Amino acid sequence: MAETPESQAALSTSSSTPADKDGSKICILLNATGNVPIIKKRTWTVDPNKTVSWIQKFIHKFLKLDASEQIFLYVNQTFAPAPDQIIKNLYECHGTNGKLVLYYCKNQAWG
Amino acid sequence: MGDLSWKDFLTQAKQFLEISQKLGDNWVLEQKDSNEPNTYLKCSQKIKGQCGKNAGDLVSVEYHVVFSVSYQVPMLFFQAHRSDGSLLDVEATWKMFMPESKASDLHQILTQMDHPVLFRPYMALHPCRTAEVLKQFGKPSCNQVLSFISLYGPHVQLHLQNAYGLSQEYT
Repeated sequence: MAETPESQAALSTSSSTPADKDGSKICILLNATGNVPIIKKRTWTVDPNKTVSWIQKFIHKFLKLDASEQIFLYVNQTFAPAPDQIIKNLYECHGTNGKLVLYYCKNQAWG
Repeated sequence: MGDLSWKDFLTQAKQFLEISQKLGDNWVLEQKDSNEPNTYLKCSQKIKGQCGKNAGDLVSVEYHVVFSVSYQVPMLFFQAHRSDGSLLDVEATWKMFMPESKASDLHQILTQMDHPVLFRPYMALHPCRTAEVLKQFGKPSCNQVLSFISLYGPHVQLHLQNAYGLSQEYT
């Protein structure tokens, strides 16, 4: 899967430092499940050192969700990686065909 | 259909145990007797205290994943002890595990409850939204017990290795 130039640009403002070049970034594919709004652009490239919780916050902000709602991320229909896990580790374990497929859903977690 | 039956819980807990054994984790299955809900998953670990004057002290935590008959979902119970053997009370537990949450919220998240198998007070994460959250997983998850632990564990510093997500053949 070729990396799209615009997806590079979209996340690069917040995630890139001069040291890491685009080549080292990881391509992730976001899939919506449940009643969460869909994000039109599904492929994103992310700095490998970003954490799972950073992506959760990114989606939360992108979809302008209410503070009481939480984004949950998971892989393989089953497993939710720990929030402090970095994308690089997750990719090494769950990446396929050069990208990392993540599913996301939202719900109120408590109360 | 985020909820699950006692039988499902038992099967999935056993699958989870198999995965854990393959990965060399220290989960065990405790069985008081064969009645519902007297079988639960248990694991313990030591974690470092992060705040207050006891920062850096090791705290030993024992986690139980127990089936909740009322909610028909897995529930996470745990108990934390300091190295001198004293038990962390509710305030100390909140401080240790959820330092950034407000006290008013915490009453809805983490409080002391009766352990359904041991009949002793344990800290527990509230189960009222668990079924809803599990239901959001598009297709139903292959192992809801695994999903549950990976979703709720990190709130109380219980982290699973990434490799748990690879075990898709257990369906």
